[in-house]
Amino acid sequence: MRYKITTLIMLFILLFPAGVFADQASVDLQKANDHVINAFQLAEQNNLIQSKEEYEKYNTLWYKNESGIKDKSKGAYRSIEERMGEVQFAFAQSPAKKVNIITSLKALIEINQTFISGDMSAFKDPSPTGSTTIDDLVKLLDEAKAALDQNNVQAAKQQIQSFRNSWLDIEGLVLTQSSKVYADAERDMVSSFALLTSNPPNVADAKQTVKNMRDYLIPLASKTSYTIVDVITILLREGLEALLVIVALLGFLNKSGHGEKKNWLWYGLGAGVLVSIILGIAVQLLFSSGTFGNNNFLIIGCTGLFAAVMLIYMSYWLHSKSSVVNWKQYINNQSTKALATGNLWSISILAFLAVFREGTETVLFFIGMASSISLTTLLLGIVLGILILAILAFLILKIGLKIPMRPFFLVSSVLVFYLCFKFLGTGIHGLQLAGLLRATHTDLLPSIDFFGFYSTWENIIPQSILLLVAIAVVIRNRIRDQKLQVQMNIQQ
Amino acid sequence: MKVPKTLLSIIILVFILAACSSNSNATVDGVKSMQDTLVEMNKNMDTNDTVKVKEDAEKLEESWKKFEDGIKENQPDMYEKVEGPLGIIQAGAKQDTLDQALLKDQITKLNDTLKQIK
Repeated sequence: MRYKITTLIMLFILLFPAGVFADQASVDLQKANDHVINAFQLAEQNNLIQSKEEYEKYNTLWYKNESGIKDKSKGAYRSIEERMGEVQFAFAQSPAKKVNIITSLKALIEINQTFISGDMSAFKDPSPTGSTTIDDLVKLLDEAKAALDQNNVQAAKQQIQSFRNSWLDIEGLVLTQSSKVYADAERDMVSSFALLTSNPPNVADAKQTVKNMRDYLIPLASKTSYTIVDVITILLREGLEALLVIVALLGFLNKSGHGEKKNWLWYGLGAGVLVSIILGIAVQLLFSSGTFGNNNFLIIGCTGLFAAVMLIYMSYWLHSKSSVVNWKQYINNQSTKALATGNLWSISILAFLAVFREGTETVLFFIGMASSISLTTLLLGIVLGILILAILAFLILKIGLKIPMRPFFLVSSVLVFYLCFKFLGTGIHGLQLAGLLRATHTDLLPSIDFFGFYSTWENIIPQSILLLVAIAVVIRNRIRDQKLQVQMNIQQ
Repeated sequence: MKVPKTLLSIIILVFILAACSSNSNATVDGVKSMQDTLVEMNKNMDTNDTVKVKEDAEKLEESWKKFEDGIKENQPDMYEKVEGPLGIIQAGAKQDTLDQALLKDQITKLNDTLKQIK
């Protein structure tokens, strides 16, 4: 029987000469495999010492050529190494058992032959094209979970094995996004496999582990990014507000007969823009992934939440009606004072403050976006926004265009709320990926990237609260306006 | 005045984030992780916990995968010295009954090699 196998193996080698397969990896492995065949024959003849020596020769050649094999198929490489481990184990046992040595050598010869023959279908390779996505991994986990639901341990085991093979291709991508998810996945894929291969298999724990893996990998599959529209929206809203103050200041100068001194105003404006830009660049440099290594989800998380909080604070407090009135009054008072004393520096400072105030806000929002938008899109958005602003400024200042204030602030408020909602969502999501927040998934609601909405309770609850508060504020204002209207009607 | 407050908040945030950043060295981390697993494995061998031992063997392999290429390139002799006992441990951990003596011997060997990796 044994001779039959040996003869068959030899015949196989003769039928499939190395020359047919042009690639070097197969040729190298075939040369090395000859030593395994010798080792096999020697073991059969009870010459275990010499058999081991022959195997060692194979081992040396393997180390020399393994990279070629690994390049061709990682799955094959792992399988062959596994069989080699079995051979080494059999030789290392004391006392060495001939039957174990022969069986393991035979298995190694077979797997080597499969590789040499070029039949890569036998090896479960992580996709050879390298196009594995996190979605693919999640799909494998879904299948594993479905198999476990039907108590099909064998199928689930296969899915986990495929997951582990594919992991090699994607681990870098996962690591760059979240070191926490990376470490957890590495731990869980091993433990789920071990749970399934234990005797008897621990299906309940394996199911839970697979579910956990799915939960923390799903967020990585969807990545919210900001669009050029978001960039332009911010720039227009903030820019127009600054522009309105500048227009008011210009009006003052003209009205008081100091129209020729508007250069002071432009200096202030220029300084405001410049300082905002410098601040923006500094912040962008500080928040770049170079400074923060692999933890860029932490940046998205912290900056997203920070931007959301600042946005809520500024939109609903700073820009509330009373505050706007105060701000306008402050400008009025200061400009009157400046004109009275002839101190035009104050006009410059006022223009600077108006621009810098809006500029800082703009920078804050851009920080919130910076880690989730490509630099080109961000810059293009800024350039386009500035261009539109320049045109508007020209129309307002030279042509005397009047902006319909109510619709403008209504539309821009909605847009700002949308961004705030998105900042909050991506901020929480980032912290989840950085491992600072738990992610409890629910299938009740879908994830919507456009809104930075993710189907975890940690996202749903705060975002719902924000939405409810916004609705409450709108309703309250509506009622208050109506009451005012009624009062005015009565007074009339 | 609101502007200084805003600036202050940015600066504080930057410091907080800067504190969160970290650097890692694949080899040092990998060796450390393998050594930790070996300690665990030794304990699990004592309690004859076959499932845990198998899990540890898998962990060793996963850790090794991550830095083996670097070792092969820079310390080829060490590479072979790791692969040998590692392969035996992998195969040994899969057996229904653990070969205590052999596995413990290989664990010691692997640990000694890991200590020499720079």
